[in-house]
Amino acid sequence: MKLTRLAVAGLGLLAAFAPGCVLDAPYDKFAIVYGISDYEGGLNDLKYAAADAADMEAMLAGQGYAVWRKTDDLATLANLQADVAAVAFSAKENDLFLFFFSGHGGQKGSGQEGAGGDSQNEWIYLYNSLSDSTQTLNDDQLLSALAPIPCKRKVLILDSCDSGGFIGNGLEADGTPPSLLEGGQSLPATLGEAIALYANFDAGSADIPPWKALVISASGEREYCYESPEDLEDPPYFHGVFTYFLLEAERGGDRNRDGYVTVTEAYDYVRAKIYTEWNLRNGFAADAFSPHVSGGPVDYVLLKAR
Amino acid sequence: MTRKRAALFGWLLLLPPLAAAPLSLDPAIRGFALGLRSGGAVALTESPLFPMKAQAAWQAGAMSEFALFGFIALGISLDYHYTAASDLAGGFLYRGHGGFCPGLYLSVKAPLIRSAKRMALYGGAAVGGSANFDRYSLTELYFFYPSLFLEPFLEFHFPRLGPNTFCLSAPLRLDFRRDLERSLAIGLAVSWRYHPAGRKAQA
Repeated sequence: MKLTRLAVAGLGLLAAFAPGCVLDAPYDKFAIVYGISDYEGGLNDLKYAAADAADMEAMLAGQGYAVWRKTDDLATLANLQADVAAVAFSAKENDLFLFFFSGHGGQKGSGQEGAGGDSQNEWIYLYNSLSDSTQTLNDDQLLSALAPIPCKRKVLILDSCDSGGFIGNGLEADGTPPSLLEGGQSLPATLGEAIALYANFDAGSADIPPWKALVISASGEREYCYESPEDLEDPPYFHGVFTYFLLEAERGGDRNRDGYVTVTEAYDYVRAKIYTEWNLRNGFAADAFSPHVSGGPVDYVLLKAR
Repeated sequence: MTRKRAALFGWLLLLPPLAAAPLSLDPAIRGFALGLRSGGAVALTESPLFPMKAQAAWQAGAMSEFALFGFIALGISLDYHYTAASDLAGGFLYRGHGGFCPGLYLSVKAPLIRSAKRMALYGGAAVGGSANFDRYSLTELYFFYPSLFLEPFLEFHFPRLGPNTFCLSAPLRLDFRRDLERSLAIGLAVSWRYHPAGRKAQA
């Protein structure tokens, strides 16, 4: 065992100094992609969430993912459970699983979340959430729903309001505030928070920790995210602003030019684009928002760079 | 490495300079010292879910040392360190991160070779700890972890260069990361020290 570890370390050592040396990974990739524009009943509809899902499916399929997509009235909890069962049947531990959701999200007070959390819980809303409260999923319920999938690499991408609240960093203090408009804390306060998190580390802390899944959220914990008003954009996005730039990540997100786009690189690309193309363009108006990403020491390859 | 072996390793490094301590230091390099250092390392990282990988790392910073008993010094340091992301083999990588790490250490040294005119060579080791405030690359995520380090070194003093010494060292750093199974780094570093009191001694 020790010899094996040493051999792995030795090979890693060589690889560390040969950044061009990337092994094509022998694993399969699975994705469940949900987008809801047309909600049941009185929930206000969205313009582009279903289109977000359709174009994400096309992009992921082109990247070699096996994709299960549901939109609008098919995006229910029962169908999600069926899709999860289908993925769980085929996927193995070393495969990669991605869940993408575009639709409504929100906060509901439901008691203290736990260490590092606040008194709100964040949710995503499936198609018939208004008539059936079991169709809204918070972080724990979403994790539970995806639990049958055996992949140890899981990525959740949420294009919904307040979705930053799904991220549960047990050790990292986020310098990007939960709401850009509310502002954040100073750097010394952030470092102090990091020390406190280290001292009080709780592996079972609130929200989705990075060792269970890496999350990219479109917005902060107390922040809306937006669809583009097509009359204002040139060219028009015809998507949620976050997903529009996420779809570009396979072409522009390879920051270190190693031929692959990781979860962190995709997040970084989308965040930078939203700042320059949306937030700054609108003068940091009331609709400014920022994506967030999970912490943790490990990152996953998400896409091949095009 | 077991704790016993690590302790033995530490004592083996410290014993030669301690044994040679009666041979006091050159007056030119006694007392307070200021210095700069830089070095590279290989960090080995292993998480509970994923196997070990290597990451390239480098570090640069400044330190000041206060002599306690001639051959022992108490040092404080402030370094910037950066650990590059690992390779992508297997579809995962260990993230790159960097930040500042203030440190506190004790160093022990003693002369190994001394030639009054040409060069003096000292051997020794430093042992200490640092507080690391890092940020993951491409993110605004800040995190903290403490480290311990052991740094055997050779220190060269060339009298014709005045109260300056140059060190070659091999630092071994052990990080106490709560989300990693293992995180350690082995490297090589060079440093320069200036001993202000040595100007008087030389005069």
